[in-house]
Amino acid sequence: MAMAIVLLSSCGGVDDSPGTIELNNNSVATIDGFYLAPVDQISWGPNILDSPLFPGEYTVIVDIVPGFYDAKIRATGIYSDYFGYLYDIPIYKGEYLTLSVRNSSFTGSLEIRNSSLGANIIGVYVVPANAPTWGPNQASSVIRPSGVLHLTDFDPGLYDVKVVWNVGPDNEYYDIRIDSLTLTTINAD
Amino acid sequence: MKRMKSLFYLSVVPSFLMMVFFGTVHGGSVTMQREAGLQTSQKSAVTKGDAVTDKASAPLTFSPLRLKNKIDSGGESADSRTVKRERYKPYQQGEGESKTR
Repeated sequence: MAMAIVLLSSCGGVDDSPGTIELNNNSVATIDGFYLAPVDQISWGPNILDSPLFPGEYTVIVDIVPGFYDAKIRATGIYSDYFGYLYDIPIYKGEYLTLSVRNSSFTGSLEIRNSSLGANIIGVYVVPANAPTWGPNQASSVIRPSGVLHLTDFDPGLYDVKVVWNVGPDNEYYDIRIDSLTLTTINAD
Repeated sequence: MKRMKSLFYLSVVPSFLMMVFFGTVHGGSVTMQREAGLQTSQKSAVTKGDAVTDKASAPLTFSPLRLKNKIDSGGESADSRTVKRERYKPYQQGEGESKTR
């Protein structure tokens, strides 16, 4: 069993009898990041895992100041990175709280590959399938031939994707499935 | 014999065509790669029976829904990667140009 200790003092609890979190990895992924931050903190703070949490293992985080916390996990897979979230976790004084991670706890990822011979991708739009508009451009720079845009942190579901080229018509892909712990790749040409 | 041949073509040719077109879309192709059994533990997995047991309620479970936009504190991604990974910019209702399917 891996053991991690965290001291979070920014929650402002009056009674500082600490709480404990047990993080159970019931997924097939290896969790290599666990972030625990008070709800009113704007950043996730440091990774508090000493070592990776393999499938079937658990770790215990002790000495947590009572208060409300947000938590994030990260798994680095073969194909991509995946994340899971849990918000507004109440930690009461002296409490022992169990948090569970399943396969369905994780986000999915999407990769757009420029498989054309000479055209550049200048825009990539990805929105839930039922969305009425195309949302923001996901590409922060031009994707050249053989280039890749790798996007993480998707809530699993069906998405519509539009690829905008510097020459020629746009490509639109409808009902592209993104699953937990899965990398979906579109080879656009 | 002729009937056998036509039966063969009727069954094999459509399934071949289905295999070819599965996963292809107009202007490209789509593939999905699922993570499975990424690594096995170096030590034997701890069973729940070994854990402290005086807990009252069912465990809270993580979900893939990102509800808040907390900032990462850095050091999250490996710099040695050949492909840079970026966070999906979540869709805001009504944002961007209109979509017609």
